[in-house]
Amino acid sequence: MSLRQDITELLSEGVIDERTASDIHRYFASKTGSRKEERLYSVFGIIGSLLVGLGIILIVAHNWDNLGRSIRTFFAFLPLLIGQVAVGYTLARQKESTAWREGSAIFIFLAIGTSISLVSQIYNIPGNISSFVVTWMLLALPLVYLIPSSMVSLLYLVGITYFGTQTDYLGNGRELDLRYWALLIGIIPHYSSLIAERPVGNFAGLHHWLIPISLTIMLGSFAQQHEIVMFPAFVCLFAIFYFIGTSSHFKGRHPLANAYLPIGALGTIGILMAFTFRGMWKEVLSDSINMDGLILAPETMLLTILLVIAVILFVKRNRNRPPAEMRPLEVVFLLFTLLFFIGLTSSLVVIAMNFLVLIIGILTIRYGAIRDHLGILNYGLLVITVLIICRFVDTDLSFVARGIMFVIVGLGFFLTNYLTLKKRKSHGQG
Amino acid sequence: MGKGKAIWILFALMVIAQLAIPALMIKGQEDVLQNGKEFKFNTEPVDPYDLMRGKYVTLRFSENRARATTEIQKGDLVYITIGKDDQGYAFLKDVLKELPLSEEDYLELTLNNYINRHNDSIDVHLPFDRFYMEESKAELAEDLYRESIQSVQNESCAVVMIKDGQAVLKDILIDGVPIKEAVEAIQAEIGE
Repeated sequence: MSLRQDITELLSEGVIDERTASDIHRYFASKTGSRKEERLYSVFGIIGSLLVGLGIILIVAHNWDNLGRSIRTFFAFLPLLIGQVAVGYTLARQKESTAWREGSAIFIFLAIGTSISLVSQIYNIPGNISSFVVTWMLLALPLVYLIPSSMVSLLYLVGITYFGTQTDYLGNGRELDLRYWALLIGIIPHYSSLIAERPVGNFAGLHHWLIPISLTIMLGSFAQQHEIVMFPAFVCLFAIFYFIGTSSHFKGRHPLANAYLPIGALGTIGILMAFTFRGMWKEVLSDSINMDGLILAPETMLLTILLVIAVILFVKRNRNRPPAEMRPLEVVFLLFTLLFFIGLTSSLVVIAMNFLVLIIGILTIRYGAIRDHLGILNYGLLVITVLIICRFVDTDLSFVARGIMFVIVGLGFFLTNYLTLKKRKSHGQG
Repeated sequence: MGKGKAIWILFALMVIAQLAIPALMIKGQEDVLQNGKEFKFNTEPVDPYDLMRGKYVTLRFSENRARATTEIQKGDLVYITIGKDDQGYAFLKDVLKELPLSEEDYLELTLNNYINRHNDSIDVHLPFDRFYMEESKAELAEDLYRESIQSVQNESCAVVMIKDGQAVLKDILIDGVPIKEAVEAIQAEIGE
């Protein structure tokens, strides 16, 4: 639009004539058009490659026991060889094309899995699925940096998360398995370069979703002999996500451009809400706390690390800000951790937890009202509503009492929205 | 070294690694198949489906108990000596924590499953428990298997090649006939 305005201005000032103006318009229109076409071509290239690769995998499931072992072995290597030729050609001639880069990368990624899988079939090799997956992922990792390919990075992340859940998850007293974390380091440099070079691109966005989801799933693998410590650990992780999701990097972008913010916010409220139930505390305390080795337990070390990171982020965020600007979800991790450990010895903490959630709801409403942001305001109301519903399920109030409380909350929704909209209207008119 | 050259070197290394892994898997298996000793293990049947790896027949072995006089824990690497009975079928002898000193044939295993102890013996999960077959044949193979097991003269067995502790499942025999042939005979009969 600003280009159009510039051209109009130049035309009106007599700097360019009509013909030049229309030439400029035509030039930029064709450029935009061909950029859109290339993007479409890339998307179709990626989809086509995925389908071809998956089709080959399905063919793999159909054993070829009528052929001799050597012929079957040749077919086992064939997809891999084709993929390697495709990648070689891309590196030599098509480095600038996203369709070729991502298409050849996905093809060879799937071909690696196919090859190993076919060889296992041909020779009836036993072996668990997790060792198969980790071998596959390690052989595919170079593609992320060589081509480079962000799709393979995403597929790798899915693969290692699957591998992580298949190893000793929710441990049985066995040693902590850190292989997933070591494998995760493999794509961190790629993720960093995406953030630095193409921060608003689709691939960066997809990573901003898959990485927090993967981390949330895999944090549970630290649970060994002292699982209850994982609750404050998760709240600290969600606080870190919240800080990342509300950082300046994501400022001005859609709240769902990354998973850090939704997981951070909803995860924190979810855990807090669970601990507003007396039953939850009973459940947690029913396995008496295993003090043996608690200090050096992996869960405690994890909690310490996450707490320190969250505190650092909290200080960085609020160092130069007035206390009134502080958002409740930025500090709740500290309060929850404190209340949690107090709660292990005192049953009154459940009341404090309810107040904490209520205060978060009220402060969120206030923040939404001040910023004139209906989404945040209604989210605050939702938190309070869910809290009240939880108490209804939990306590023995009469139907009349519950009905009255619902009416009050419902009226609260209407009133706050009405007043905010009224304020907007009067500002508009004023 | 220019960036271009570095990329091609990385590409070459990647290609070699991607080809080498399956090739090494094959080399190991072929060595056992060509140079190993043949053993027949008596079997019982089951059948699940592995989408990633094609359909297979899952085997359970009737002779899967071995003497274990030393302390054995889950996760231990052990060596299980193998013998042959009067009918030529293999049976498991002793679970050892070190390589057998004698010339006895043995299997090298990591005990990944829960140790089921019976006095001085333990149940061993034999690793060669999957035989891959073409989809259309696997189910028929499974049925043949079960019928054969349930008949009085159970001569179903797994043919396994063993060399230096490594085992490769070569074939399944249903009453002396390789399972693939037995299934093809049935398919021919019913005109499939």
